[in-house]
Amino acid sequence: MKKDKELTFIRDKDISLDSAVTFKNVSFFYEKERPCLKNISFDIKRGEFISIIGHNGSGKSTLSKLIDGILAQNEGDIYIFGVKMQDNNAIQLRKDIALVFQNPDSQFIGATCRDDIAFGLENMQVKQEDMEEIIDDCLRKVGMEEYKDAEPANLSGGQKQRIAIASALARKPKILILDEASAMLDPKGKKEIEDIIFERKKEDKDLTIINITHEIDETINSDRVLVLSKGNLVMSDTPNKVFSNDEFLTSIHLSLPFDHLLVKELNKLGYEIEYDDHEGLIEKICR
Amino acid sequence: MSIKFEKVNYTYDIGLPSEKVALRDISHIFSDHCFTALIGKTGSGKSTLLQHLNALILPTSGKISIGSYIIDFSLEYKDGKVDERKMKRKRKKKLKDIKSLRKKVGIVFQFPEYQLFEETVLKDVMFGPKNFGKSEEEAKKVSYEALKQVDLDSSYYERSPFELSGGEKRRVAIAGILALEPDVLVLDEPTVGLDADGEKNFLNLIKDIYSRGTSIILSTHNMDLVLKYAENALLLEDGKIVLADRPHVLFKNEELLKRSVLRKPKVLEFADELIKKGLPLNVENIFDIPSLAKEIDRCKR
Ligand SMILES: Nc1ncnc2c1ncn2[C@@H]1O[C@H](COP(=O)(O)OP(=O)(O)OP(=O)(O)O)[C@@H](O)[C@H]1O
Ligand SMILES: Nc1ncnc2c1ncn2[C@@H]1O[C@H](COP(=O)(O)OP(=O)(O)OP(=O)(O)O)[C@@H](O)[C@H]1O
Ligand SMILES: [Mg+2]
Ligand SMILES: [Mg+2]
Repeated sequence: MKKDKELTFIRDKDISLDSAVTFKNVSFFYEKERPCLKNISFDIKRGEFISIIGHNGSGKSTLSKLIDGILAQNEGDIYIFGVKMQDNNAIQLRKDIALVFQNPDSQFIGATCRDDIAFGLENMQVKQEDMEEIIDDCLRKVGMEEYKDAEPANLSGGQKQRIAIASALARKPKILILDEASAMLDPKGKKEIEDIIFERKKEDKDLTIINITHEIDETINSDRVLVLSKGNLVMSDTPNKVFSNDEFLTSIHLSLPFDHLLVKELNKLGYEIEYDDHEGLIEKICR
Repeated sequence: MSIKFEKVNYTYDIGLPSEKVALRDISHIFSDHCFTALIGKTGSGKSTLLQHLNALILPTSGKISIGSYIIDFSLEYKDGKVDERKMKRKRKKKLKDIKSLRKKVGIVFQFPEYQLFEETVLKDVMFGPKNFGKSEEEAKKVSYEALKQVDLDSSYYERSPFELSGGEKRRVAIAGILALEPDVLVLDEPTVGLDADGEKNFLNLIKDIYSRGTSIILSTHNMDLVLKYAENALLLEDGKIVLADRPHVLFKNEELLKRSVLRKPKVLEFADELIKKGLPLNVENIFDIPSLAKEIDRCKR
């Protein structure tokens, strides 16, 4: 019996050693007549910073729930750190993963912000005596210390998102999935959260980040951008390569980063400028 | 229809440990035909203020006039102190005819899921118009139109609004309010969750609705949207209005920007970088990417 259990945590030898999340021909539907994700394959490496973009209803949130084991695929295989996810090991594999939901309300379980963070920590078997310090530290980092005893349901939209992010970070995940997690933050708040996450990434180079967003400018520093359209994975490449496919992106209802859009407008006015990077663009314009 | 706030205060959970002052002494007139953007840090009071516009939240004290509809909780004094007895009596009076107010002022919530409740998308959008007296046929007609405006085709009509993606839910919630054809359209962070196309179409749509006479009052963290579309920006800080002016005036106020949590719109941040390098751009001419390109062109000639 015991042996069986152990077996379910053995790495698959076909999956490379540095893989964090691997999809092999994964398909999923909510209702049979409407396929939602179609034959998706990709391999996300340990420590990679991945952005996922795609039109409304393209399947981004569904994909994130498959990674986190909340939903189960209808076809194909999903591997977390090389281990195939199955009914009997999903709970264990999920411990390394923190998913911040698109709607923070659907993830709060605690009656207060403190309890909500504590809940996640208990599941991680954090020692009772360390708990309060971790909670205070996380609340301080996201600027919500004065709301420690507030009910999550009674917070403003952006405050809810801050607590949801704090709860996720407190668990020290190896894979962090953010589903439009800072969409309701003010511009400076957004920057602060970005800084906190990248500080964490500096401490732990192996932290894998998957950021789902509609704000294209958030994606330009990622290692790779995955593009979904109508349930298909249609692109997986570096930001510069993805954003050079201007017409294709427009055809699947997406747009370009700010700098690229400006270059396009300048091209229309007869300036022959090509985009390399931001500093280069400023130089070229001022020349 | 103009909307006037006079010394409006609002406190959540009065008397409880969780008591929280959310609006402080708000006095402001939203003019007859306005396009106003509420901006400010997380928790500064935007959603609270917006919900006062159709009496979803009633002020703790102060007076709000929405067209001819008046909610008067302005403070009464006796011997230099607030007359609590008189105030109590005022608050006890039931609000009359709130339905007529809700028909005139339509609000899309920050979290659209909380306004969806029917079995199907089509029924959900039809609910409002029917509730306000339209026949089944008429309600259907305006609902088809509203759903088309947010790019949801007929394949969505019979689906459950709860089994949709985040952006699809937002579209249904917006359609539900558009179908009411209100005089004042109130939108709480309406572009959050919309994809690029969805956002562009939505902004063009409200610009068009505005030009046909409807007032638009929205909250947003997207400063480029404020610069391009809003006639007026209201900056909230900790429940107080600290500035109400044209967006360009706000974004020129470097001191205020430094102190508050705002960032300039991306177009103006980019323009600043160029100005620093010696390109003499006139920022007043810049309100979006095409106009930034034109202004660059003007300077280079
Ligand atoms: N609970 C559900 N039941 C049935 N269908 C669903 C459910 N949730 C989502 N869908 C459908 O599955 C598809 C993918 O939805 P998903 O939420 O993954 O999209 P998304 O890419 O996250 O979109 P958005 O940008 O709007 O958040 C959509 O067509 C949606 O209508
Ligand atoms: N139901 C509630 N009960 C108690 N306090 C609340 C409630 N709703 C909001 N608050 C508090 O009132 C203040 C103002 O909240 P409000 O939702 O108006 O902010 P906001 O400007 O809309 O913020 P955001 O940009 O994050 O949506 C916040 O400090 C918030 O915590
Ligand atoms: Mg989603
Ligand atoms: Mg709000």
